[in-house]
Amino acid sequence: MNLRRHWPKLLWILAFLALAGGLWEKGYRFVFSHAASLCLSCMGLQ
Amino acid sequence: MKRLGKRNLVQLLVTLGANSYFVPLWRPGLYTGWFKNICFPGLNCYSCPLALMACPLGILQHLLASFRALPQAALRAALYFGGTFLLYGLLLGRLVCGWGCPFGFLQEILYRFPGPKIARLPRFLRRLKVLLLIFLVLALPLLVSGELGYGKVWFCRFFCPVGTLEAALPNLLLQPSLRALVGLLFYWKVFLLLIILVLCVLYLRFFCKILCPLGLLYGFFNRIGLFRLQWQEKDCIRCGVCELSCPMELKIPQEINSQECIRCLNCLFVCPTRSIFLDRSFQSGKTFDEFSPSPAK
Repeated sequence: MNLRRHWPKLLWILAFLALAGGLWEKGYRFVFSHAASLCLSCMGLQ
Repeated sequence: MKRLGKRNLVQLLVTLGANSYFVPLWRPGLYTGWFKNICFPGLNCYSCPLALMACPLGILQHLLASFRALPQAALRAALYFGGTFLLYGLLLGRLVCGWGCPFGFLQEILYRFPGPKIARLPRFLRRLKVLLLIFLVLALPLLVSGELGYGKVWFCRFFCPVGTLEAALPNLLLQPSLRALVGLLFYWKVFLLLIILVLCVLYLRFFCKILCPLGLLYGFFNRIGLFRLQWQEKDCIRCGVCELSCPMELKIPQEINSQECIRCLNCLFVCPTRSIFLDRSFQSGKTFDEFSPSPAK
């Protein structure tokens, strides 16, 4: 098997594992806590 | 002005879909529902009153800025964000830029305005986005922190024109109480936004080509993601139509899977012999040298 040609498959596996781990650990709460409140920095107001 | 093409209609639908929370138009506030747990693949500010999802670039900076103060939470979030971003990259790559980014869509609309146009800018200017990614998105939020250990979102705060356009201006309009916070930084961001918008009228996808760190990150997936282009040398009549149709000024087919390609698929649609086509295998893409047969010895 040519590893150079097939290494993207490892990335797919890594992506699914990371996402599953993140979901298991409720990493989305961090995303929500920032995305659901007004970001004054993003608006150049702070 | 030319009519909108099918791709522009897809861009319009995605833009409307990502910004379809209309409640703030009569009751100030942001959407705080389930979708805010998920990052939108394109550049779309989560502080936009209409936005349904999170901005990946904003979350990435918040993640890095929180690593010192909240290492556990940041690590958990990094897993979730990393997995999501890798999946977006592998599934879509820069197809997001070509078909689904609201700011990319706006730039294409702006370029349709009549007036003088810049045909080409020097290629080395495209390295500016590498500097923006390294310094404003990655290094400064991670390395520079305040007394409590929190860093700042440098790219969003000092540079991002999307935040000014989608969040600052509408929120200031809808929430007069915020106007007391307007200061020098806000005026700087408005100035920068105006410069960028004017340059987008003059030069097609100015922001994507020269400044966008998100596009740069997705570009790394162009050779390994699911959406890759292939070129069949034996069918090619070298008419050059593909190169003329490329909005990113790439040399096609040499740069068919280049990091700069936004996967608009213009080259694929205009090719008279269908020598450019989509390859959706899970193997990594070929470079131009691999496409071309080695010279006979």
